[in-house]
Amino acid sequence: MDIDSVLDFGLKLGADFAEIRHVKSRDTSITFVDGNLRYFASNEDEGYSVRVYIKGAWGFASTSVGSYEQLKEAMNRAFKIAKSSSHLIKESYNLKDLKAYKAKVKTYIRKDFEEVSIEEKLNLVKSLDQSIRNYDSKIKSETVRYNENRDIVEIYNSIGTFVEKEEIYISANALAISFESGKRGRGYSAIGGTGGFEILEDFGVSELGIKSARKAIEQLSAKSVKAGTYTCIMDPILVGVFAHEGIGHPSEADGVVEKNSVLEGRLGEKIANDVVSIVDNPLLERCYGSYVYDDEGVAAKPRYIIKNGVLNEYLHNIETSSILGFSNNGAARADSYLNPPLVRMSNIYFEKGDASFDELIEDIELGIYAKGFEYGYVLPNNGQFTFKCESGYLIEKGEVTVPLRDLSLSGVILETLKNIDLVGKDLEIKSIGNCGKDGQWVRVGDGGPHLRVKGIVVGGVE
Amino acid sequence: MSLDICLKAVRLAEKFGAMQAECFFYSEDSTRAAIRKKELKRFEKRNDSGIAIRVVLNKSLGFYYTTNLNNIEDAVERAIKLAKAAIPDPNFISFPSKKPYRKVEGIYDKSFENLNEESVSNIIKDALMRDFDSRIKSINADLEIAVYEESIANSLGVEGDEISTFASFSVEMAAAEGDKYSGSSDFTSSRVFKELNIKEAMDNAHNLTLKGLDKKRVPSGSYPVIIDPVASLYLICITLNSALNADLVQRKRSFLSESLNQKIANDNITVIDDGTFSGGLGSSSFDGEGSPSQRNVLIEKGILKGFMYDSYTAAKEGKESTGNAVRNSFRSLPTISSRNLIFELGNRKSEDIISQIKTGIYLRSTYDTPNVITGEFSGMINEGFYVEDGKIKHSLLQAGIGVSLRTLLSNIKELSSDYRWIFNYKLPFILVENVSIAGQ
Repeated sequence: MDIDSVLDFGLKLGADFAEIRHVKSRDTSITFVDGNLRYFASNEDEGYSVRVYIKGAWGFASTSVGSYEQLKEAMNRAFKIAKSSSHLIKESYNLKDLKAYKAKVKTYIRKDFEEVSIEEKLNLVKSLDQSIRNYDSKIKSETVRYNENRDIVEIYNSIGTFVEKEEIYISANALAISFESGKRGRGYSAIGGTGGFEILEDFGVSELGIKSARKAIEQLSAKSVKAGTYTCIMDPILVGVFAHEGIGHPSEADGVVEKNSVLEGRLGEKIANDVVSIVDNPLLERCYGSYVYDDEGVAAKPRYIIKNGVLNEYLHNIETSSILGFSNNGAARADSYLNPPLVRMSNIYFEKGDASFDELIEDIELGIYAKGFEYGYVLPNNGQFTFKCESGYLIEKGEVTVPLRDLSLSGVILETLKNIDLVGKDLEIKSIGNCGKDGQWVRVGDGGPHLRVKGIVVGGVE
Repeated sequence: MSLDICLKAVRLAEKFGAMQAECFFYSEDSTRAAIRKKELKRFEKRNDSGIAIRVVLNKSLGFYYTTNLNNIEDAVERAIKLAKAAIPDPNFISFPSKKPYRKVEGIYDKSFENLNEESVSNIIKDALMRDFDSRIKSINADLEIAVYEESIANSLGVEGDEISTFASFSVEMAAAEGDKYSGSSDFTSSRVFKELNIKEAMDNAHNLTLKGLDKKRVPSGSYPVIIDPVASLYLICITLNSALNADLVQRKRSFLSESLNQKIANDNITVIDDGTFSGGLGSSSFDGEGSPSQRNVLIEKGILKGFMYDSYTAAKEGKESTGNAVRNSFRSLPTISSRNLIFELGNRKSEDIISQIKTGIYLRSTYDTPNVITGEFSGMINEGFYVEDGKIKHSLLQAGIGVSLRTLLSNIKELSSDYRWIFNYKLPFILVENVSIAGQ
């Protein structure tokens, strides 16, 4: 299709900047529930989105079908929208630091999942389901999911960018539910990343079901903790969630521009203990949130958000880097052609320190070792967070002892950052996350080493 | 025309060897505007349409969706290929058979045909043209209008076609005064454009945000709590919706799994799910697999009377679908969910109920939900107020709330006669006694 002539059409209408994104996705999903194949699907999704910029206003239109005429019509609609909103904009700005990129990139894969037979995939998921069921008679229900996805994205804009990228993802997860005399337990594990079928093999897919079953059974004998304030050790999964929810979201520059972030106006300020450094890095190999060019066709760079306790950098797209006057670090991502790119994270993590696990716990008289993440949130205006953990243990006199259930951690992000006093020397960035923002879900990774934090409010069920 | 596409796909699937086939068409024509910092930030138009095909071969199901409506034959072939590779599910009996539909009123508003970029930006201008207190530092709002078309056909003669409209407006405000801060939000949604109450949502968010500036801790203890309909969404509805889902019940993943025909709530609680409710956001003539929408009594005078079924879970128990297979797009399979969950109202107005609370808590919002498997709940209060001598006083600083959903339902003392629609939930204010509040 003659994309250039549609871009020219946009400029002729009066646009300052025009962009077209063509997305073609292919995915396959398999879900087994309690021994039966409950979901088996394969899909193809294709469409175009068009964005137009006029004096401070963006217009966006998308269409799931894409003939040349329809694309021109979408350009026309996007232009009209931008035009009718530009008279409502009080503070206009010019797009700055625009660079034209030309590139063709593809996720590195060793074993293409499209060359693995469907029977092999079905058998894999089925055998994981069975491994959970056979683990213990107290396991009463289980769900195992497999998902593969291939996105081909082309980004064209009126300053000459043409980026073609093929992004390939794979993931599997297993949920086990146990029962014993009125008590219920839950165990969940997930693996995945950017890459081919080798990701599952390399990350131990065959153990995935058993791992979940073991957690669900352990929960049956776990005890509730007495609510109070404790020194906590957070495992890499929780540390990743803390980095993502607590620091990642407030460092997205769209929130900074809108003055909705606790980190607004604080660049260069010491906001965390010296031992804390947090990076959002889209260029890591194999992680779930990795990419090389963002969805505005800009080359992605690692974002050093906190360096030794000092707030150093926000996450930017074309718009926020223009408004705030920083160089664009390529954090624009869209979940599909149906939506415009927003400022998003990729793989966010705490950098590792030098403490061994024993050193982290040896001085703790009474504390909590909190593991895994069930759900949680951060209130944007005050940074108060609540995370429901998957499981945990009591730490007594420097030893990990009794398993705990119904554990939740809460605190205020900026206080908690100052209370992180010891950072482990392990580093794991293996989380398989789906991050939601303004109704768009994108794949993200997160993680870190084990961390020791003082003064965490721990809630349990009485 | 879209029904013709579905019929064509079903006929093709049968020709290619499917024992049963179903095709669902969905299209959405929507306009969304996002206001950030009192300014129009994003304005988007979306045109999304596609078909989802399900085929059955010897109890094996294949599902395929596509946005490409020019090559239906290819889509059908792919669905069949998947079904051939799939493993049979012994629990699958059949897609729903043909039953008469009752036309549901009030779900299509003709005035949407006249809405365009211009009128949407004027609505936003009007909403923002008012005086805001100088302590209000940030106003974010979102407006969405959409027209949907859904069609379905299957090889058992099911044929349905319906268009509907939807509009919603939500607003978030933040205020600061010295080192005090506060945030609140409100929203309104409707099938009918002029029933969207933008002014009321703006007023509520404005008043609550300012009220939230005065924050104090309250002593920990057991309090009567009056639950705002907004708070009921998270505290009650989301989990109750899952707990009444027959799929989770059958798999023992609901805390109500063993409670059919038992008392699970106080006598004053009656909850009905009604997919035919005139103008309801969850209303339509047929559900996501073509079963007719209906009215189901779920809880009657505190007794659990039934669960919500699709055709698959109903067949497992030798029952009929209750019309609760819900589809939000062609991109996913139908899932079981309530249509319009309606709580029976009480006799007194909420202000009269509040006026008789000596000391208590007014809960406006929480983002925590009870665990569906256990019904247990402990969470943070996002927005809540202290009630003293029948009056709503200061806002709560860092308070937690803990009560199991089962206990909460049993301790409901009163429901108000006034109510609000929170999306597809019709909710009164709910007074619950003896709720544990963690404060100071």
